Amino acid sequence: MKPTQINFLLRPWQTYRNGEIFYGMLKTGNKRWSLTTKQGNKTFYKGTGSSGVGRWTTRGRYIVNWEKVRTYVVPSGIDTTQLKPLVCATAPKVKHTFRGYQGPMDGKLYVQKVKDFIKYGVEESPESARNENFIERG
Amino acid sequence: MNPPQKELKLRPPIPPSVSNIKTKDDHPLWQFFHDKKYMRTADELKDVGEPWSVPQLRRKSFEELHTLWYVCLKERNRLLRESRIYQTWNDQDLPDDPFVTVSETIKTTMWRVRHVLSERSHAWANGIKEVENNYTEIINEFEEDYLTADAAADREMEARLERFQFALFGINPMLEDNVPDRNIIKGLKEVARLKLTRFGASEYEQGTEPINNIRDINEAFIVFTAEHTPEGVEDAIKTIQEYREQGTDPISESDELTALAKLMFNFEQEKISVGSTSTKAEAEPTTTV
Repeated sequence: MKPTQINFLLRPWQTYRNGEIFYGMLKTGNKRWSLTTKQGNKTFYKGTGSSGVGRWTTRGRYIVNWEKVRTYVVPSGIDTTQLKPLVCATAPKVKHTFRGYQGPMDGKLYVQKVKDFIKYGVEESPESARNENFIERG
Repeated sequence: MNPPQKELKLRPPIPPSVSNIKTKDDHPLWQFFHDKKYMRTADELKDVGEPWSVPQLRRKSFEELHTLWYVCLKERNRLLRESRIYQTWNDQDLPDDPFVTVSETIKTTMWRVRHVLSERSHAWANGIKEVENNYTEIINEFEEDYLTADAAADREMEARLERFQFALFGINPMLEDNVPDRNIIKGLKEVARLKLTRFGASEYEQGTEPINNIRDINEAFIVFTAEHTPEGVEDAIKTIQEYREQGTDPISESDELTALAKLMFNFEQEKISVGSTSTKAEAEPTTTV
């Protein structure tokens, strides 16, 4: 096996074309800290992920592009829902076997579920129903 | 002249106290408080339960999982607020902060929600591939069930047909909610063919030319919107016969999309006009009485 070239192993790995090192003036010491917004060269932009939702006009006004503004889709039933973040510790432990299929992501299982939906609607099909030991096909 | 000055009275100062501050019961910031309490005790957080398991979450719809995510998020916000106060009081970052412990438990529920959603997404992608391979097989399987069922199962078959057209062609039961596309045209034709095969067999007594195939989208739409009964399909067949007697050429495939949009628009207008006349008819007796 060919030995690795020594300059690939020396830190810092990245330098400017004239050999000047990319950041930091020392070749020793711990350089594995995350870059802050103040570091890097002129093309380095880190930001805080908080602005840049529009553009400046030549008159100095800022026009917000609402497509860039992040939005949160809150479900309509949030105030009326009965769902809780945690479940009762004594609730039955359901188990999924996926018998006859590779697992939850099996395409064949998906097709079977589509067929069951056509046949039974929202009702459970006999294969997918839960048994007395809380074991399901899944 | 100066206006008469109001007499100024010196009142005793109002002492600052909590009872002087009135907060509305439905103030939005109450969402950061559990039961409008300043802070829960450690005992209250002892037996809060355990995170949702993956099999439990698999039974939930997307809307339910979406709601559960936000429920968790709000609860974690509450706990974070309480944890901050707890840590300020104890003046250090305690390892056994009960609020953080519960918050981490809720975090488990949250990653499981995401896990189930990603599982579902992968299953869908794999399922689409599988459906493409077995497309005709799925349709044939349904067709056999649909055509061999007897007249007593008409209602059941109507419901199944509705689910079939929704699952395979994305046709919404509320027709006006659909946006015309190629898949819907395909579905309309398929459903019309199935209906015609199921109900159309006994309708050739008048000696007219039997109608056993769908020529274009117009005819498919007539059969599709017909009632799911022998009489309904019989009426549809009569309409098609009249349509064919006019001698117009069948609509070509390239014009089908615009034709369908027009048909759906007319269907909707008709529905609105029928609805308004029926409400008028209902309203009339009350006005006369």
